Amino acid sequence: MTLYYKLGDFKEFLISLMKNNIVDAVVVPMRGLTENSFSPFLIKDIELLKNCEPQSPIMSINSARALSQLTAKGAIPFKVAAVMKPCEVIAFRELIKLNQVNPENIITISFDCNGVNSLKDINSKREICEICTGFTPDNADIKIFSIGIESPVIATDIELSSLNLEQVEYNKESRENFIKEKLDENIKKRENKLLEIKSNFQNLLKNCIVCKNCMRVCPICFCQECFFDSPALSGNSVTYTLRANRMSGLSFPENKLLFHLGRMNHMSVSCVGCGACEDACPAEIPVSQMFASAGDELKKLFNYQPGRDIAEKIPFTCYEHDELHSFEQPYLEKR
Amino acid sequence: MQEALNNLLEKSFSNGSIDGALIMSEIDSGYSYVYYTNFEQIHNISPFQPVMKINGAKVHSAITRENDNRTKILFLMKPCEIRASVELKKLNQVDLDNSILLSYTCPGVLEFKEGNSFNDSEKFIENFINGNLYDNIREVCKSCINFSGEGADITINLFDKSFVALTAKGEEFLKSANIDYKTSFEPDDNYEKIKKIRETNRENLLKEYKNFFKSDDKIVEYFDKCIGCHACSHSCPICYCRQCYFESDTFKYYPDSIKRKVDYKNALRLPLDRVMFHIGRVTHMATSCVGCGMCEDVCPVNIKVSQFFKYMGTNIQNTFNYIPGINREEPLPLLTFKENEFQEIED
Amino acid sequence: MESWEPKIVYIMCSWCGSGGAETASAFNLKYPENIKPFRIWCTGGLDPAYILRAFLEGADGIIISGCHPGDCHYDVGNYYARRRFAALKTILKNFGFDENRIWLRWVGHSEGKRLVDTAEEFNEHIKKLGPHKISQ
Repeated sequence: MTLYYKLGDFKEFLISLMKNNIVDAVVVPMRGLTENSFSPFLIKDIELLKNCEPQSPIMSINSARALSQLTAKGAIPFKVAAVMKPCEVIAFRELIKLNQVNPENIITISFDCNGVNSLKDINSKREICEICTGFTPDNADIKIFSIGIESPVIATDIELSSLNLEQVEYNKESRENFIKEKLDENIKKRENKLLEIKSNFQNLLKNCIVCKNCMRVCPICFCQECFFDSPALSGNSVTYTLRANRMSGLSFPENKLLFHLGRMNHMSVSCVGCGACEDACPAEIPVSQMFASAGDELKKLFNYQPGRDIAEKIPFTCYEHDELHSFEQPYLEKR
Repeated sequence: MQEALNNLLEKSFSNGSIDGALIMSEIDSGYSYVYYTNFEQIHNISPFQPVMKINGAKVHSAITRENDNRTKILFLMKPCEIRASVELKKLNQVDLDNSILLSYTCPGVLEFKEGNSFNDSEKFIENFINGNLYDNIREVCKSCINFSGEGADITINLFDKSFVALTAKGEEFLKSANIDYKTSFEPDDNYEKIKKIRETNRENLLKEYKNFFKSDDKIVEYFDKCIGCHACSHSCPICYCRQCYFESDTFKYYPDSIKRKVDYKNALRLPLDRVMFHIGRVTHMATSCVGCGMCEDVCPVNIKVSQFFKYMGTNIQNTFNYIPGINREEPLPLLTFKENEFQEIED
Repeated sequence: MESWEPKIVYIMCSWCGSGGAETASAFNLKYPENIKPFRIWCTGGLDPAYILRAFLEGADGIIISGCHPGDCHYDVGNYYARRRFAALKTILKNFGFDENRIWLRWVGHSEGKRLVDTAEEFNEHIKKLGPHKISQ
């Protein structure tokens, strides 16, 4: 059963989770050594926790990826609360489906998110955050609500009575109205932005150097060896010469379109819209928006939302006997 | 110079001394290397375009790593790319027997987006050969003193517009195409002027970095913004490992290791081993670092990786008295030894 | 003026797809020579990246044929193939590529005529569309 508590200070709440042994450590963003440097930290020391910034303005890496790295060889052997933005929680849940993270002993905490700033220009918001349609913490174990209500509220099924928090009523209707308004606005912006991207696709990829940074920082792209780096696409002087003969010259860096369209085919259905890719691109290509465009189409096709239900299988891992007939070529036998 | 080059290409294709050529060209999406397999395909070449979207040595490796001993290919690349190719030959990643390496006196390289749409390379070169050093080129280019094309079979001296044969193979190639050439590189005043400025820049860089890295916490500060994406190593021509050691199972920790780490340090910055990766990469490849600067340009958080590697690389290379990529016969420093050396570091 | 011959790749599974080709040859049916057959074990094992590769390497058209859904030699491979193929077509269409140059038509082991008709129909279809030009 979901209970609602008053949230005083976010940091104090995290500290009290540790003091009351609900968790032994917290994964939360904190500042690095230099200006505007933020990173997720796994913190066990309550004194250090006083310096954390749970709603950091910069998301240098997708925390789901960090948790995946930490649990590569097994569950974390102590209880951890992971403070993550809504998109990171969705990525975490997708990674559970893909067997790439061990969620045992991890409690996720999320909040109503206002977006993060770009690593390229810290004074402006990430472009993908401007058109985000998943800014509420629907999928987290502990949800912090703040949109459209006077003071923030904790919503959770997790047993927190030992913290002695004040139970409250909150203005559900007001919050839902605010959310609907923002969502409608963002959906419209998204439609317009993605239309621009769609119609300008090849031109936008002009400066791509196929460094594949976007794939490396993506939380969903988990393959140890990416198909597009693998021997499947390698050649030797004979095959390169044959292909160059056919195509009247082969350009390098190679496989630019193949990489982007191929990666879209492989993972855009699970794309969480975090924007790690757009910030990682050295040529400032709007990769996150391209993948949002492809991803939105596939999510519509399969009626799929990443992260909404852990039992909901990723579309390429299941099937219906009778579906998608519009993609099969109809046949009229010629007599 | 373009005409002479076209002449060379036409003759070499027709007399069979090459079956293919890799040359920077203008294509729909900007400027990229294009692999041509006959002279008629060659269009819109821009061989001296000041852009490097991929280090040419990587392309060389992709094409010739599994070589067939039959396809003879000409590679027209920048001096650092040539040197990287020579290093890769020592690492068995490239075939040089069937390759002709052609280089030129390089003015430096612009950052990707600018370089990819830069349509004035002729003027750029002209300014360069009149003794002007550019301010908007890669930092490591400003301190590069090996920019004449040493290490290649042939280099083009843009200052006096001559082909220079640097090896016997290069000489034979030019002879069979009936092209005039010199047998040694003749630097002129403008070349020396630029070289001097770059030497000074290099000295300053080494001094500045030596001053900065006074204590061992400075490296943590230097790489503070690093997000562990490994873009630097994947764009590096020398980092050829299919599976990087730092991405292997060795660096995936078991739960009890994680517990021990957290208990010992009280907090762990994620992702793990970010600074370790850089220090480790230095020990693995800095002896062969050619200072091309790809690593810094691909870094999403603008860490000056290439300048760091230039500093570390130069120091390490000086210890072994080794310049990567200049001498094909010289073995890699860590793959050879003398019985009596470095006694000063032993107990 | 040289008449242009489409470069078409016909991807067939090893069971029904190739079986269809065998049946066609048993009846002495022929399909156009510019169509290159490419045999894979099962359409379910076809990564859409390979179709994209052919598409971007100069193929003017690609046809995929496998066992009818429900009849897959490996039980359910073709169901997965159908999903992947639907995703591929959707993405290509989204970004303005010509998704009509890729067809999916199931062909049973005994349906020799269906296979040959498909090949001919597709050949005519591509001839009408013209050569495929993709800029790198």
